[in-house]
Amino acid sequence: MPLIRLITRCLRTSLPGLCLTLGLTRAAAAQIDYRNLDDDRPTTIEDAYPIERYAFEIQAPYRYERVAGGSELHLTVPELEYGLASNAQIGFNVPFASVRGRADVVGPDGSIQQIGSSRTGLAGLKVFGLYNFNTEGRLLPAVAIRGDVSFGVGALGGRGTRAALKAIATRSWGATRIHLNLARGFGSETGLGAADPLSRLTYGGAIDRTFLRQSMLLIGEIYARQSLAGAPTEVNVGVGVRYQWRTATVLDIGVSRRLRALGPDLALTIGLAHAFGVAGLMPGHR
Amino acid sequence: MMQKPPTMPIARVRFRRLAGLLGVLATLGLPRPAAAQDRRNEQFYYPGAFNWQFLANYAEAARLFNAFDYGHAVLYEKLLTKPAHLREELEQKQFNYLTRDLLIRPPRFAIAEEVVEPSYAKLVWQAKQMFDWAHLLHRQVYDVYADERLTPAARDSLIERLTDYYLTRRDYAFQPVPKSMALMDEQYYSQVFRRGYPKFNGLIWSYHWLQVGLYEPMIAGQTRVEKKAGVQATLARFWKMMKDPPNSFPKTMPMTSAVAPRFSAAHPRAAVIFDNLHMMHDIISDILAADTVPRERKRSVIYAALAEFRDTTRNVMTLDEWRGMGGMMGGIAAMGGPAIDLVTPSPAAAVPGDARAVSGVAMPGMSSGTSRGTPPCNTAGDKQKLELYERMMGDPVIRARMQADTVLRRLMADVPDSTCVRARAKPAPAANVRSPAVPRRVAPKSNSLSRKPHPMPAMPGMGQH
Repeated sequence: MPLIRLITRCLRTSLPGLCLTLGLTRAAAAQIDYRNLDDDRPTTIEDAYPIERYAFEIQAPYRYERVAGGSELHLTVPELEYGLASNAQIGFNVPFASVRGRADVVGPDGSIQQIGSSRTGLAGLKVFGLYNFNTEGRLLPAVAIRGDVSFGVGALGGRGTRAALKAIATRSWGATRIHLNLARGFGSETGLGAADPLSRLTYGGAIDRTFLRQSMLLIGEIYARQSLAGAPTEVNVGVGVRYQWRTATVLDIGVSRRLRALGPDLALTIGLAHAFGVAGLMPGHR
Repeated sequence: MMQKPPTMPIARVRFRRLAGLLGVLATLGLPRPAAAQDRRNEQFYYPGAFNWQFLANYAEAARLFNAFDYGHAVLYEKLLTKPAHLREELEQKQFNYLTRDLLIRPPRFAIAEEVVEPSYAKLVWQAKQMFDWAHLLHRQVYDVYADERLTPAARDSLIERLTDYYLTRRDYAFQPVPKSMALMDEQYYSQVFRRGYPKFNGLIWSYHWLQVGLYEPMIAGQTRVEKKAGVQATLARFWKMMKDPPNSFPKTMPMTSAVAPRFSAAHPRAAVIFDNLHMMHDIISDILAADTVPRERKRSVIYAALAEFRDTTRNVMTLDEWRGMGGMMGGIAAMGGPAIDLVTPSPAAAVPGDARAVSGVAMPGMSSGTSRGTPPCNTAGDKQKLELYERMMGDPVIRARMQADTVLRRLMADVPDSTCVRARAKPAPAANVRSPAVPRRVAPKSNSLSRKPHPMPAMPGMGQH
């Protein structure tokens, strides 16, 4: 598939994000995209607003995690989103991971297991959709629902298929917003992927602050995650920044850390998101 | 590997609880025609390589528009939330911040208006969306003109295509049909804002003047250098407006047909849309400022006005009437002056913005020739300059060349006001530039809304005088 070939080629370079995002230089997008909090960009908690109708957004993040025992995870999750309809977006991502050392993962029986000494490969395929019910009003917050399905594809993708439903709410007070996420995963609990699995239960909140003149968003979050039934719950905190680098491109940087025994000692992420449109898909195009 | 025995009953219960919660959230958020909850409904702009060319090539102008967005947003928020000492807040604090800080160092990119106007955005999201959508068209038209890779014909074609795309969103598009000025000036809440807050109102009108006026140097300039020079000259005129507020501000709402005649002739649909947009800006300011519209009715009154501006059948005027509105409202000089042609003195209207006070007749406070305010030519050097100027302008070839040369026109426009040459110079004969003292009257048309605006028909939430 041409897309897979393109992704693979880019991943071989030292700057996969740059390769992916700047490959579409003719595109353009909203100059306030830096306020659009996406899943893991750079925080786990996201906001309740989708991308604009007819907009595409391509993301090329890189994530590094160091877990207890010194194991390391390098992960990139190229993602493409599209504003399919009013207030609705769909997308997919293709996690690609490299595990070095002995990484801890939660086994199907809830115990922490160690895998691999050094493995690299595709870590599954995920498709998702998000629907926003309303913009924020005087009384109600903005509310959205998101659905994800991940398939066990690739050497590190695990063996099962999982799905998740997430409820998202966003409320603002001027430059400050609060986001609440609650997600429930279900499906196969055997052989989860090594990276970015759909956890059984995730909930948390984030607060962000907009810096208008700098076109920058500062985010802080706390969330809890239980990978599988019976597994211990990890609680992590993180902070991140989204910065409007160019008219159509957002740079994000984040760092997070566990508060309990399970979770990353340190996780760093950096990514680029680039929005664009395709004239042929626009209404009234001639 | 052994799996943990599933605890299905508990899992089911928890899942049902979660599903129930999601259902409640979804139900709460589901769109209902009722009202208090709007849909987000954002839509991407028409893609193409032309996008962002204006910002790339004319950043000093493009960034000003970001500051303008802030100015509009903070105005609406303050008018809605009515903090203590509102007049001082707008006319002093916010005005000074805008003119002494934000306009001087405008943001690199568009601002997130929701941050500046949170209460307003929550109250009337649809109004914000309609403005955003029209501002997008504004910006994209500038991008087209700034893209030197396009031929003039390609530019015109692309602008029409952008206008078509804009109009595909019927629920959010100002229609390309000129609406009656009565919608802005003859309602029970009309003119409250401009009378109560003349400095801020003049600032908004100067924004609107530049937003449409900048099209002119982009069209008149044949090369990038000419366009650059023209844009700089128009910007210089904008900055001149900031020097002596509110006296230096436009006295009436700048009409696109008057301030940007070339653009209006080339793309009348877009020009009409922008005039309707600017009228709606004023209307919302009035509704928010007027005590006659109680707070609990502001949303419905604003939404009724928005609906009126999406209606192509009521309170409309012909294109000819629209083209003549500039004269009816006091002429180009009352609107801030021409964007690129020779500057004419601004008349001082008795009541800022009251078109009836400045239209048609000799206006109080107007001066001409060498009357008050014109520096005398006392020195020998002054007299020499004046003679040189008069001899040059007396030559039809030189005059024609100067009219055709945007750089020369800019240089003439930039001659400091203190020189007697400039003050005494009669405006060169250029299209759309008239003496402000005797504005051209519009030939009466049948059913001319501009001559005697009809009272606005019954609109939900709107009353009459």
